[in-house]
Parts: sequence; structure tokens; C-alpha cells
Amino acid sequence: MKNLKLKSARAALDLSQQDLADKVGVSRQTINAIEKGDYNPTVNLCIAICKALGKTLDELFWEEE
Amino acid sequence: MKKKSRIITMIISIAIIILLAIATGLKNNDQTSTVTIPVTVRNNKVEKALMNPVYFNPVGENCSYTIDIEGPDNLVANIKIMTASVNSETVYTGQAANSTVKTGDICVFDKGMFVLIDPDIKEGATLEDSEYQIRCGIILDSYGHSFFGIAMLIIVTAFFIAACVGISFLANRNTDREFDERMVKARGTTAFNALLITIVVSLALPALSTITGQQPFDPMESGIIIGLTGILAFIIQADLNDAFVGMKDKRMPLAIIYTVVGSLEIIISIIESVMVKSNVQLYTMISGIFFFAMGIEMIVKTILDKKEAMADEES
Repeated sequence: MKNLKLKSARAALDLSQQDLADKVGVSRQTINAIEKGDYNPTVNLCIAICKALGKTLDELFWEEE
Repeated sequence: MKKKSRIITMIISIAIIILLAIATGLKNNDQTSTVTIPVTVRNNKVEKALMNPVYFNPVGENCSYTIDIEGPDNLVANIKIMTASVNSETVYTGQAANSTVKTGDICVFDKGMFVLIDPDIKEGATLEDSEYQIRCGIILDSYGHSFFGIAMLIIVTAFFIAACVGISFLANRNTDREFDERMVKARGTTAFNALLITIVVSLALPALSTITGQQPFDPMESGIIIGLTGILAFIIQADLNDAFVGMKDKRMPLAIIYTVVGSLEIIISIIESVMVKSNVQLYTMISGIFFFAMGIEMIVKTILDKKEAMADEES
């Protein structure tokens, strides 16, 4: 399932996938895979992304029913 | 405890390599074979009774043969020794009649060899029509730097590989707590797939040889094909899964160089085989295919990657 919350949070800060990847310390392809729903990140990576975007885990990764 | 077990494993591995190498180096390599060739003479001509070639597998850099021919004095044995590779070459030719021949040193470098003996009537001699027999006792003595040529090579290679692995481990040790977990995971899956592919290829090659009865590749060539297939499968799969091995940025020039080198190698191997009228130069051809496939994959992947990044920037 696509992670549109992550994509919009990133866009709100005017960050490209590469910018976010550099901040988190992963590759651009990894951010792309998370946004497309091709890869389930570990909690550590989720936390790193949340910190970089100034959001909480719930805001970015919690799926509403 | 973990450190202790690692050291013990390391010591045992090194000991096994050294023992194996020494055992290979000290392998007693004298081989003997006795063949009797029936020869039918009619009208002072030999009705050809070519014997089956006798195969020897010398270990070492040099070998020599002592061939003892027993038979009528007027019947000579034409001796021919050839290497048993795809590009078979004659390394010795000689003649003997009821005597012993020593070939002297033949440089073999661990190649298998065939000994062929073709009987004929001595020039100017006459032989009554009858059935004769030539008895050939062939002794192969391969020696010469066997230990230093093979065992030391294995030991040095093993240590070199171990040193490379150790240095790359120390150099790439990830002390940073941030790392791309997806890449590591993808590389793990890819390595497992590549291992399966390598196993399948290493089983398929001898199986195909057994089924068809043909042996198009010698063991060295088979080893290279199997090894490169595994490496290529790993690199291409890892790259397609965005788990780059090696360069992450500015990959296009490298990809173009790989493709050009690969294409040149393939072309050169074909031209060489056509011009020299020999078999295709397999090593060049295999490494050419390897580089060409890697280069094309990298070019395609880099283009797709750029498009993806641009689409993200635009959105």
C-alpha cells in the first residue's frame, strides 16, 4: 500500500526523495520503495524518518481503518 | 566466547587449507599402464591396428614418459603424446622398435595427456604375413616443483583471499548506526539466489556432459563459467533491487566502459577463432559476456533511476 502520508509530509517541507534519504542516511531508492509500499521499514528507520520530517510515528505510519 | 570460537574456526580453516595443499603437492604421481596392440601384416603392410589412446593425468609442471616397446625388430611403434584439452597439441613424437624410449622433460602444467602408439613396418624391412603383437609398458613420472608449483600456489592464493576478505571487512566495517537496512536485506536475498544459481549451473554442466557424451569445456573453463555465472547473477540482481554493489553515483561512465570492453572482448575472441581457425577463445569470450551483460544492465538501470529521480523532483 502506498504511503501517501510520508510523501505529502516530505513535499510539505519541500524535500526531494534524495534530500530525505541524505538526512536519514539511506539511499533514495529506499525512500522511494517505502513511499510506493514496496518495502516495510524497520522501527529504527521509521523513527529516523519521523525525526527528519518532524512528525510522529502515528502521523506517518499509522494506518486508519 | 564468541571471539574464542572465531579464532578456533580461523585456525582450523587455515590448517585444513595447508594440509590439503601439502597433500596435493606431495601426491605420488607415478602412473603406469601396459597395453598390447595386435598387429596384422599383409603384403608387407600393416593392416592398421591403432590402439585406443591411453590417458594420463600428471600433476606438476613437468613430466616424462618411459615407454618400453616389446615386439618384432622390424615393427616400429610411432609414438605421439598429445594434451587432452580442447585445443589439443602434440607435445612429443618419436619412434621405437623393440627398445625403450625416454621422452625427456615435457612441460605439462597439470594438463591431462593422451599417448597414442601407431605400429608400422621399419623402412626397408620386410615382414611375413602374420599376426604380431607389440607390448607397450608406459610409465609416467611427473615431478618437478609439484610442491612449490601447486601446494604453495594454493596456500598463497588462500592467504591472499583471506587477506582480501579481512581487509575489506576492516575497511568497510560499519561503525555508523545508520545504514541502509533495505540494501543489506536485498543483498542477502540476492546472495542466496546467486548461490542457488551457482549450484544449479555446477550440477547442470556435468549432467549435460553425461547426457550428451560431449565435454565441450575442460575443468578450468567449467570453473570459470560457474564462478562468473554466480558473480554476475549476484551483481545484476543486487543492482536491479537497488542494492548497489560498488559505485552508487556517476555510474554511467563505468557502465559504458564495461559495455565497450565486453563488446571488444567478444569481437576479438570471434575474430581470433576465425583467423587462427582454432576454437573460440573461451576465456576471452566468457569475460566479454560478463562485462557486456554487466554494462548493459548498469546503463538500463542508471537511465531508469534518473527518470525516477526526475519524476520525483517534478512532483
